[in-house]
Amino acid sequence: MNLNKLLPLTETTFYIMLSLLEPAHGYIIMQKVESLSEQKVRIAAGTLYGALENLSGQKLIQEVPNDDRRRRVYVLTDKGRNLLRLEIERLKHLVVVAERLIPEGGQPQ
Amino acid sequence: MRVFKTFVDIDKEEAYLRAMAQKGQQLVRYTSYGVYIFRAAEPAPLNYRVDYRIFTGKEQFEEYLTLFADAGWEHVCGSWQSGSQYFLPRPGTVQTEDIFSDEESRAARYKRFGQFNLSFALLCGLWALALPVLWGYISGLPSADFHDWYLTPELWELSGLRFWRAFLLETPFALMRVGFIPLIELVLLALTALTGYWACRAWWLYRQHKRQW
Repeated sequence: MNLNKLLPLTETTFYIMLSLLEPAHGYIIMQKVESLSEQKVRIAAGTLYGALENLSGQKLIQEVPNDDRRRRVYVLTDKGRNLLRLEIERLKHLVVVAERLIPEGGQPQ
Repeated sequence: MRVFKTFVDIDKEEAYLRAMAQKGQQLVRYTSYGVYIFRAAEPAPLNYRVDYRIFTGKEQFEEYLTLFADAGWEHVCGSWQSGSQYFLPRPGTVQTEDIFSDEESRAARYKRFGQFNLSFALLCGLWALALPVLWGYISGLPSADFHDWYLTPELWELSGLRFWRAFLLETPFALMRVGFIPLIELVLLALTALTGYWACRAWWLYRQHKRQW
C-alpha cells in the first residue's frame, strides 16, 4: 500500500504517533501529546480511542503485551515510523518553499 | 421518573439530559428500548456527554471505560453491547470540555449509529422477505393464504351482514390459530422500517457534520 495515500496527517494523529515512539497506554499518550505540543493540543478520551483504533487498523501502531489488562499499550510500527518520516519530509518541503517566499522578518522576494 | 424518548441526533440527546439535570432530574439508566430512568436531585448544571459504540467483548469495553476514567470521565450507564455510552465529568478532576476534541471523531458517532441500524434493518428485512417464502415449506404451519385460516364452510360465499357477523366472530379464533406468523411478519416489517429510517437520519446527520470540518 502506498503510504503517501495516508498523508497529510492531522495534527492529532501526528502527535499521537510521535508519542508512540516508545510504548504507552491511552492516558500516557494524552499527557505526552499535551507536553509535546506545549499545551496547544489536548486530545479528548473519545477522540483518542477512535484514533488508536484506526491507527492499529492501518497497522501504523501495534499492541504491546502488558500486565495491566485494563490498559492497552501501543507502540509505533516500522510502517508507522516510515509514514512519520514521509510526513516530516513533506512538512519540511512546505516550510522551505514558504520561507523562501516569505522570509521571517524580511521583505518578500 | 421514566420517560420514553428516542434520539437519533446525539447532540440533542446530550442537550436534553443537561436540561433535565437543570430541572432536578438526573439520569440513572437508559434502557435500550427507549426509556430513560431519572431520579430527583438538586438542580445542577451537569455536562452530560454521549458516545455511541458497540464492543466486540467485555474486555474491550473495560479498556474503553478505563481510558475515559483516566481522563476524568465517569461512566453513568451503558453496557458493552448497548451502543449508547453516557459520561459525566468526575467531580474534582480536570478534563476536556467534551469527550471529543475534533469534529471528525464527534461526527463518527453518527456513522457508527447509522451502520448498526443499517445492518439491523437489512437483517430484519431479509427475515421479513424470507418468512412468507418459508411459510409454505414448513409442514404443519397454516397456509399463507388467509382464506384458509377460516374453518366455517362457505364463509367466503356469504355476503353483507351475514358475512361480516361470521367473519368477525371467527377472526379471533383464526388469528389464534395462525396469528403468530403474521404478527412476527408485522414486527419484522416495523423494525425494518424504523431502523431503516434511523439509519437514513444518522447518515444525513453525519453528512451535515462532515461539512463542518
